[in-house]
Amino acid sequence: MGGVGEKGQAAITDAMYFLLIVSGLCVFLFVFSASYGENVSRQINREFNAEFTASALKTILYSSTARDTTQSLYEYGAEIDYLLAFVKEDYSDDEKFSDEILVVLADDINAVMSPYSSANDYLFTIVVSEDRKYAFTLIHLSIFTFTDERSAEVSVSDPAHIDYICSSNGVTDRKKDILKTNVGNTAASFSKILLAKEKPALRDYTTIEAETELVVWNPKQLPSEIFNVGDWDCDDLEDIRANLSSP
Amino acid sequence: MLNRKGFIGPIGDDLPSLIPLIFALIIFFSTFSFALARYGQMTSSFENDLTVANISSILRGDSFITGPDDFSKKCSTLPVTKMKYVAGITNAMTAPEYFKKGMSDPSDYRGINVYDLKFVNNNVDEDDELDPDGYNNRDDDGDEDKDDDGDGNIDSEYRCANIEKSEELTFESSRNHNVVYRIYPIALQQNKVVRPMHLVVVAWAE
Repeated sequence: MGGVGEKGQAAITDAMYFLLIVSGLCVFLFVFSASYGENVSRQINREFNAEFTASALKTILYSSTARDTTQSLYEYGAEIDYLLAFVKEDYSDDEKFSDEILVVLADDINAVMSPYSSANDYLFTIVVSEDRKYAFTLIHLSIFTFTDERSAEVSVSDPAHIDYICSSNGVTDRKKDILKTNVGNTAASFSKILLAKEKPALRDYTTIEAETELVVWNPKQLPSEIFNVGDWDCDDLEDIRANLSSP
Repeated sequence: MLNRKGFIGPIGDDLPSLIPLIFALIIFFSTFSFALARYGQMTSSFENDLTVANISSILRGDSFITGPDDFSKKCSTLPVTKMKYVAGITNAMTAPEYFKKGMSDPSDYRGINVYDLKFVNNNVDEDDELDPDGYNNRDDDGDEDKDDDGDGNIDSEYRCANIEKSEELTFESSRNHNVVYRIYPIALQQNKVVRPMHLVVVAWAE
């Protein structure tokens, strides 16, 4: 009964318990350290996205443009004006943008967003504050489809991205909010600008407040209830450009 | 007592219990080393990211550069850092046709190449007009790297760095370094024309 042999068995059991406890704690330590810093990394990326978007919007609004839209900003002798002034002038006569201005604006936005545009989608809008009329809407989308049910394989279209210009009839605050809610994490930047409306009888202009917004998100397949070309009344930017250059 | 079966001794009986103990210690120290290495790696990565963010923020300002003096002033206020960095303004993505004029082989154009950075400079001709052909580091003879004052840096180049051009990162040397880069849109005023461009900041720790 009892005896020296039982002491060894107790020691091994103690050691086994010790091994079990240490293993458990080490698994916890391993899992914690493997995921250490991921939240901070994600936060840093979010900060960068927000800063990029804010800088992009400022750059777009500060930019100049050639008044002759067939010329470039770098051409010798081109007549240069601020893009916003050009836009304001075009809007003032009929309270809508001509196809020329649509293309100029879209090209400027796409040039500024170019380092980001291959891996991100974005939406740029100019809204008249008073009546919430979407005077300008550009949406840059990645076109891809999932080729299997588990969404593990993606087939990318050629071209991989399409730019749409949507008319004021098709875009509303509600549609935009639904889009922003359903595309996941977004980075957005917002600024007020001034447009003008002609008063021909008085040979004068009224200043109209408007808002510009740039929203950026990671590419996502958008079901038709979120975004639909027909519902938003959009045209392909390249089609608009082709119509401009055709006689 | 010594004749009892299975009896080795007071210490000998405890020897088998050393095996799980040693296993436990090995597991603990391995995991601890991994955690320490991971912590060091992430801390270094965050420091690098914060340094680049700080440099970018100072150079970017309000995303509007009024000229080379404005850029130089911002560059001179950058804090001393143990990371090596190169920052500058490029129109590689906003005006590719004009950017390619400054390349010896336009077919090599790949947009912004952080391992072969080419920045805008502020060459103006005798009428104080910005010369598009002299724009991207070519002087009037068509040679690259206009450097009249002979200080090794391209005149009026929108470049800010704490290293010489010869020390800049290449694709081969980047394999030994943890490279962090950021690109931001920026508006650059040249001769009263405000052109959209990009601020590129590349940094690496030795």
